[in-house]
Amino acid sequence: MIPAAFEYFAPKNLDEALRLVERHGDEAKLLAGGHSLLPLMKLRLSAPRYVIDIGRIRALHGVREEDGRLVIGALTTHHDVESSELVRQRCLLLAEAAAEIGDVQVRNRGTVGGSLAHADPAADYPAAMLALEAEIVATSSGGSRAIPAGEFFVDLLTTQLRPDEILTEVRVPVAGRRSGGAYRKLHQPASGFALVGVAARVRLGEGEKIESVAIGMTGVAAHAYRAATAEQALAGKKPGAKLLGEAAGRVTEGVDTLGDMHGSAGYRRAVATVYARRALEAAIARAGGKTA
Amino acid sequence: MAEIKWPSAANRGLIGKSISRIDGPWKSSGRAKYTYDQGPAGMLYAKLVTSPYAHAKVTAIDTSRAERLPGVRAIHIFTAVGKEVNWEGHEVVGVAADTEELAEDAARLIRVEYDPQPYLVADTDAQHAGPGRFREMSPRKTGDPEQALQQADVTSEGTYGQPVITHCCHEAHGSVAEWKGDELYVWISTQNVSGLSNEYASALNIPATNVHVDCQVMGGGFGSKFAADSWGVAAAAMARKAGRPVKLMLDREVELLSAGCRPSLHAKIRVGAKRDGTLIAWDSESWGTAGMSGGGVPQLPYIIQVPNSGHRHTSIFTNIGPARAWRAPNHPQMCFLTMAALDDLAAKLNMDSLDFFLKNVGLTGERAGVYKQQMLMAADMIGWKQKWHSRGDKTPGHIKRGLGLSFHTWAGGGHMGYCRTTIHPDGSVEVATGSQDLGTGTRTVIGIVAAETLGLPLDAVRVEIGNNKYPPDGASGGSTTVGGVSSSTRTSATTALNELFAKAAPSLGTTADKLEAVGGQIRVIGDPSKSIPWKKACAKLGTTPIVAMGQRNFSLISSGVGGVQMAEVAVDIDTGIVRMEKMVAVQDCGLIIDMKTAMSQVYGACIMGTCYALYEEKIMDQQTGTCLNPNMEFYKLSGLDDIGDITVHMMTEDSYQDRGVIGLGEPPVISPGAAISNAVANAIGVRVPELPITPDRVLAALGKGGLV
Repeated sequence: MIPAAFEYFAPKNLDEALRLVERHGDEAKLLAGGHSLLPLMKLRLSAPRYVIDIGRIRALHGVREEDGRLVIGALTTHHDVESSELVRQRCLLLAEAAAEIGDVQVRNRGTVGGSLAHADPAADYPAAMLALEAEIVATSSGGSRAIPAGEFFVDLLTTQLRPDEILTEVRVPVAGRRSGGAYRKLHQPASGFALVGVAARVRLGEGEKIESVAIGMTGVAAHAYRAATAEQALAGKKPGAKLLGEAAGRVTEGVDTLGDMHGSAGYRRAVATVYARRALEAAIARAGGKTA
Repeated sequence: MAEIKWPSAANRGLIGKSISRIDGPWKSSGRAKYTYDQGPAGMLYAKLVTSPYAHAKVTAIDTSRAERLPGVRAIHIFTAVGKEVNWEGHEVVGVAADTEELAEDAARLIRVEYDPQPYLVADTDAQHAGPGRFREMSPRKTGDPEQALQQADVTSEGTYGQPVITHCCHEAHGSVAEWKGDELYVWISTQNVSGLSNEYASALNIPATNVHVDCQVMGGGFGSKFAADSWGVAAAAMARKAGRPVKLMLDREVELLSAGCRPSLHAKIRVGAKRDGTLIAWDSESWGTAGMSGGGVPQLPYIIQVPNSGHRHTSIFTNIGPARAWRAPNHPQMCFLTMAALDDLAAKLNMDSLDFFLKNVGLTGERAGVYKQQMLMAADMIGWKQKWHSRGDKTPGHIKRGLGLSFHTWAGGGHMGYCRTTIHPDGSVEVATGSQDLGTGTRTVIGIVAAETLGLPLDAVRVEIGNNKYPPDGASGGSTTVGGVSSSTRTSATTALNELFAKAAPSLGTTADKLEAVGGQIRVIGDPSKSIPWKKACAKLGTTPIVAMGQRNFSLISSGVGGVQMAEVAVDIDTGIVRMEKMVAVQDCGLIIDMKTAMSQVYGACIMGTCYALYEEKIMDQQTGTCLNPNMEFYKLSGLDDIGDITVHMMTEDSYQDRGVIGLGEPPVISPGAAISNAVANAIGVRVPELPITPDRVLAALGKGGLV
């Protein structure tokens, strides 16, 4: 449980950090909260030559509202997201997802950017960002680009980020009227990771019909995904127990479901249905102005 | 004259009261030093190279690169070239170096080559285990089970089982070894302080007199820490080679792979009863693994002597890991199989499980009356009659509740051991025995017995244990410690006190046989006004303390206890998650020395039992022969939030206490698996046949597609 030797940098601002990633690229790892990187290094599953600790870059911390969007700095901790009044008012789903991550210690140290960039198949934020149709901003010394969440997660622990880029912020559209969202999760008892995590966002339209719906799934497959067939089953329909049950039953359709010692593929499919139904019920209730 | 027999209930000042452990503040403040905390000057750190294969022959070992690493001081070969390793994690080479980091680096530089051999890491199918991989044990039969099954009005058949689990002691195995000349000093986490010197002596070719063993506190053993083990001997051998102390503690991974497995046990069971619930037939075919050794033959059925019963057992030899005794060896497994099969029969009879077990309690033999009393008491405590429903909670919603019960027995007794009581002329008292406190409260129990005997407050007695310089005491196994140490302490303290009486008698104008020690006074029996304070009496010793030995005394102890446990669970049928909501444990253990630590044993056992009922399994990868969860993240034990309300009741009527002291460590851990499994079956209407009752097994049993 002792990592291999490495060289350590602690840049004080983004420019300095960008120069370091440009120079060391593939041989470097960025250190944010350290909750994934440090265990991997201690187990020697990861042995980067350089560790670039971006924790001192003040500009990457905090949440603000800008042009109808929440802008969340990459180094904002889960606790800061969970307890932000702004996030709770504008995007309860995101605050809920943050509150479900790991335990108190993890939430005090772990960061939004770290979690998204690591892209653990059982992390909570990816599902939330997919359901919220967020944009993930990657910055290099050449400039910034905004990657839609739907394109960001490529495979197991793999994202669109390039080695010379730093994930700097996330932009989350603020929900309008008649919208509601919820995150529901079955914890893996030891790690707190999601055996199944479901983020659901619903907007109700005319005649209480579902005008738009997005369902982000995590823990179920190699990377977080949108449950497209379930969304299609719901769109334009009036929600009821039968419809929700049917739609929830389709959230793993066409998905290569993970099976491991924490839960077989069959078990994950079974509980994905349960948690999708629970998340949809809560999201619809909130969209209708009820508490859930 | 003080008598050795236990004081009557009316005359017990400390015995049986609820007393906090005397080493509690010492432990909770961090002043108590565990093996891991020892750090003699110049100490080296040792790490192991272990087998990545379940079964292999070692064909080459190259330690040259490690030896050239500056700061590497000693290398130890556990498994020589040509020898075999029989499980993943089997120790092959050890290395000691100046720092822990260096030792890890050095271990990484050691090259071991293996010739992998065929392995077996499945224990569920005896028939397909392969040649040389199983042994059919001689069958047992009483009456005619086949005929009785034919004649039964109702029969039930099922296959039940539980996998290999580990001990997962809070403190891993290991030791710190230091040589002073040709004298060996070891700090070791052990259940057997007095019994290790011969093992070290023969392995290291020194006289046993030169071996000094110390274990003041330890973090549990549960049956896995009776020996110095290869790694204990290796620490001493490397320390001798290097001329410096060596610390060798197993890391959690090696601990879970190599430091002990509880044997698995599975069985196909057929049972039959008359319409009124009277049991008449039992037939079982069981199989399981105790690693590469055969293991014992389980006694099935457990406790209940069904009139016509047959049993056959097959031992499977696997590379899952080395079997070691696990708290109440074989009993939890036999109990689960028996109680689950009988509970399923009760359900087929449409009987309340409690009524069914009460109906057949006579088949338990001499303890039938005890079990009956305990069942009724436990039922009352958990509200059985109010809460009972037949199989399957019919109330709406996805949370289903159920009740289950089980009962158990254990011997106890007391191991051989000696205790020495010293009364100093200044009045201070020391009791010393080479026993050990596994975390159970042994130190406190010794203090209570000595203080009670001498009529002194508990803090007036100094208790010395955990070192083999003290009079030898047996290994702590089989729940024999409290019987051993309480009787040897009582005997030695009484003998010492009678010597003191002899010295004090003349000044009270009487003879020793007329004296008693009460409340810090030596006084004349029947005339409390004639007394002298303890210190004054001791001052009459001049300059020579009284030293009196005592040994295990069968007149003070007994053997054989019964206990009944009931569990209430809540099962989420959407997710399959089982929550132990409430457990009631009613336990007999003879004369209780310290009510608080006795009850703590039962609480702890209910928690440990909940762990193996719901969580614990050594998960083996059939493709590679390796263990998938050798760490405490994936070998998940219960957390605080997983444990419901536990209520403990100890039987303290005179009829129990008059039997003398009986051990308690093991019995209460036997029933939780059966009680919880029965409660789950009652909640969801179907048996989850395997422990641990994981969520996917629950969904599979419900036909909701839990397993792939």
